[in-house]
Amino acid sequence: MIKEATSIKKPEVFVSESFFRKALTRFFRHKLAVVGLVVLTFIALMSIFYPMLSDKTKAFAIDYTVINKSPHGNHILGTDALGRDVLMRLMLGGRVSLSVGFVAAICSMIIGVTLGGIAGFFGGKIDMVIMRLTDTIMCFPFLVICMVLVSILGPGLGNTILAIAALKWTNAARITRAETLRLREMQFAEADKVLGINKYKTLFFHIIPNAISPIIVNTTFTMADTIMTEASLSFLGLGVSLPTPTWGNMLRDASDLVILKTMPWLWVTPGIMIALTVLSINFIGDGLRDSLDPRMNI
Amino acid sequence: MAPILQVNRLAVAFKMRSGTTHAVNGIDYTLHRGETLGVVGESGCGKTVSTLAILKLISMPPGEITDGRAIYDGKVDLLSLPIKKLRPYRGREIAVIFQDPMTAFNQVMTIGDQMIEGHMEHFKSSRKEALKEAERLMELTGIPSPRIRLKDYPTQFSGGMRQRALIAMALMCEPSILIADEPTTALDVTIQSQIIDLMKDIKTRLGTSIIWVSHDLGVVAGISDTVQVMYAGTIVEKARVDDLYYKPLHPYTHGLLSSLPSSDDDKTKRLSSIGGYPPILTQKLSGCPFAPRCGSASERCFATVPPLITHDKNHSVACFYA
Amino acid sequence: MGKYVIRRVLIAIPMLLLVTIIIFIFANLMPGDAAMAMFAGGEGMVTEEAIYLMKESMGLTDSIFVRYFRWLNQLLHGDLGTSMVTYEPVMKMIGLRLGPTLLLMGVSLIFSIIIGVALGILSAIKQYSIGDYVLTVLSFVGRSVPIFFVGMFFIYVFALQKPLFPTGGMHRLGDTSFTDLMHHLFLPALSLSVLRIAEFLRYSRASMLEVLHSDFMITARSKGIKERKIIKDHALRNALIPIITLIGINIPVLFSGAIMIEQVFQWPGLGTLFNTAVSQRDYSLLMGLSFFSSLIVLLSNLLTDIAYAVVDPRIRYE
Repeated sequence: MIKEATSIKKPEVFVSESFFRKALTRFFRHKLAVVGLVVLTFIALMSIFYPMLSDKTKAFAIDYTVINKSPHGNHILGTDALGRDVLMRLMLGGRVSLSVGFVAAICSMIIGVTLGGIAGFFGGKIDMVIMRLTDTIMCFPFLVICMVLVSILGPGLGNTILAIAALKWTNAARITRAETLRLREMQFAEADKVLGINKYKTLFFHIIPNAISPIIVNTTFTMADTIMTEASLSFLGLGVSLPTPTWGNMLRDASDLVILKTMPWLWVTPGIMIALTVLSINFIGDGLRDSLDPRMNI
Repeated sequence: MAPILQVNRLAVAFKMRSGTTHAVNGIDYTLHRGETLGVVGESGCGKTVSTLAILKLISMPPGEITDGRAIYDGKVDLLSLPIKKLRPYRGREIAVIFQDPMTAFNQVMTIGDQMIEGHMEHFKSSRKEALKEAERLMELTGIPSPRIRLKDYPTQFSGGMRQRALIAMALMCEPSILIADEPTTALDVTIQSQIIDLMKDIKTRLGTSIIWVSHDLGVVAGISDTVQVMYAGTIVEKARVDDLYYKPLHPYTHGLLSSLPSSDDDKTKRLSSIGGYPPILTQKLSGCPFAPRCGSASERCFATVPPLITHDKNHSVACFYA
Repeated sequence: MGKYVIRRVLIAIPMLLLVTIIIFIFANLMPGDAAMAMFAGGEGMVTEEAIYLMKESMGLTDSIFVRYFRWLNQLLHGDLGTSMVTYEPVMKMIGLRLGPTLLLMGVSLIFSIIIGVALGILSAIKQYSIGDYVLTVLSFVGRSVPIFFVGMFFIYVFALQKPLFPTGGMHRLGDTSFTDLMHHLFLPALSLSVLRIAEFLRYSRASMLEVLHSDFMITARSKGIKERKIIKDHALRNALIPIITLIGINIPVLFSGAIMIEQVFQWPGLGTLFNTAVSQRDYSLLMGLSFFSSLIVLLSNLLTDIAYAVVDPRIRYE
């Protein structure tokens, strides 16, 4: 006779920690990502508060007594050809670059997620139209089409943000569409349908929250891109116009060969600021990508 | 004559950030010439690792062979060899047939190129000679038009054909031992039986010794001479195939066998299964690993690891109450 | 294979059409038009009537559809319009500048691929080694530095501090030798490559790592083949296939980078032409250049798809 094996214990019921809380712990294990976060926060705080605490006019006031001076007492990072304080200009430039970068990234994310979600969820003709539009925009080198749009809209902070956001959404749209398609096929969308839940509720409360991880990562990297784009546009004389300093136009002013050779503080500083900011964001993005990966169950 | 493979005290651990998993916990097994040894157990019991470890084919890091000897043909302890010295044995004396022929093959190389690699390495043969042998073996394993097929890519083969090609590739260097790691799991049932027949054929024709790893008791029953049942990295029972299936001694084996659905089951009753879950192997064993799920477990079972004791007729079991 | 190519080409054509539509829409959004440009500088002296007549004679008063098809027809005949500033045909202007830019992009691309991929693969093979960590961090840095800053930095170090290289331009006056060209090409091409090397490094490293942990690598090892041979015959082939897509993606990015680098080094290519067009509000030149650049993108996408099919048998037999 065969003995039957019976179980002694009932299986335990596990209460799972919130996914995002787990992701946060994973994020802080990433040394580089944490460093990036610290540096970025430092730059942001400096840009916001330094101009408030010190004299903002230093960045604009033309003072012929201190032109082209290398770093010294009063002017920690030196002055430029018009006697303007480099450090203050850097901080104000930081305000511009960070705000353009952030706002443009968020706007493009919103546009991209909306279009991608609609395309993926409703499919058919709507999907085709949106995807054709996305593909067509991606047919141009980004900087090229951005410059054209900027030259149509004209210079200025708002126009720069608008131009970048109006073109940068394509990646977010593609990712959202792919996620929407994937999630639409999964069980809970079917369950919703059976329960008669409104299509839009499904889209909003079920599909988009699940797709949010890759979107968060993508938006972070997009911000690195937008900051770089703003700098490039300013360097070429487009985008934000003088006298507002941005890191990009500070480099433009310093691109004269004489200045390059003799006054390195005028171009090394903005260049390093751009590099540090973008690098920090890249580190953060990498950390986010690893920690938000749903497949890692540690 | 010495057994073709004698494994003693084999222990394998995987050291990861979340902890160390003791995948194989000091097992012994023997493979005699011409014998087919079936290794059964559920996923995660260590059956695959315990066979691939002999050729050091597991990822090391994070894996590590913490103990053991694997004596081939009574002459060499394979585990004592550095990988450089182990290579002449890989594919030549001991060959592996992997589970999923789709991923086991390199999809951007032709089947022919992949088949002849080992042959050219071990026998220093020319491409032409090796291809001829490949063709012969593909024919042996039942692949039609082998000469043309050699130039094809794995994606152009059907699932069953791919598995046959994988088997043919394993046979290229005339190995004494074939390790078949779940060779029929990725196939559908009709193809499964074809492959099993093929392997039986190879067994009779070539006299190769086979280690057949599977979670499928039915398949193992059809082809093995001896079967060992693994659980949580240990061998819980080992016997000749008939003895194991008709006179199982270990409670786990009982559970496995009674959970097999059969056509003359009472169709109104639920399928029986073993309650509970297999243990997570992050600690070394402190008692019988099956105790938490065993209906007849006693305090002794939780306290001491039952040793594998041989009863009559080469029937071994690791249980205090068998 | 032929069918695959034809299919790809057929998909590209409607894309190109859509591109022309977008460009045309942009062109019509621009303030001012060709007729106004003709009168630039004399606004106060010209009557509304005269402007209208001029517009009519230039066909600018026709409906938008008529104007679009007329323009499309022009494009099909290879006429990309006329510059509003110099009155030269855009096609001719592009022709003059195309060579230097292609040279810059081409050399830079080859350089980036060779160095980036080689380092990436080495980095993957020696994972967790110090070299791997250094290269990974460097590739991060390389991706974060603005390309024009790199150019300025190189000018500072290699042309100003120590006059090893010229500070800009394509030739020394009157010197048409190859060596002089190379001498001038070196710094701009190097600057343009820095970011691309970082990118190729990162991708080839990731690709190689994925391959090294694949099942077929275990199969190959189980056959007793030497590790070096396995890496050469199995790993490399698989790891390099995704790199081909990367090349395709990088061509438009290289073009954007060229716009920046040409500005820094005053390299007489399409980049500086584009910058001039933007600053001078030369809209017809801009439109022509935009169309041309999208042509480059579509072409490189097409070539990538074809190259992929040649190299990856899985695509061919699907």
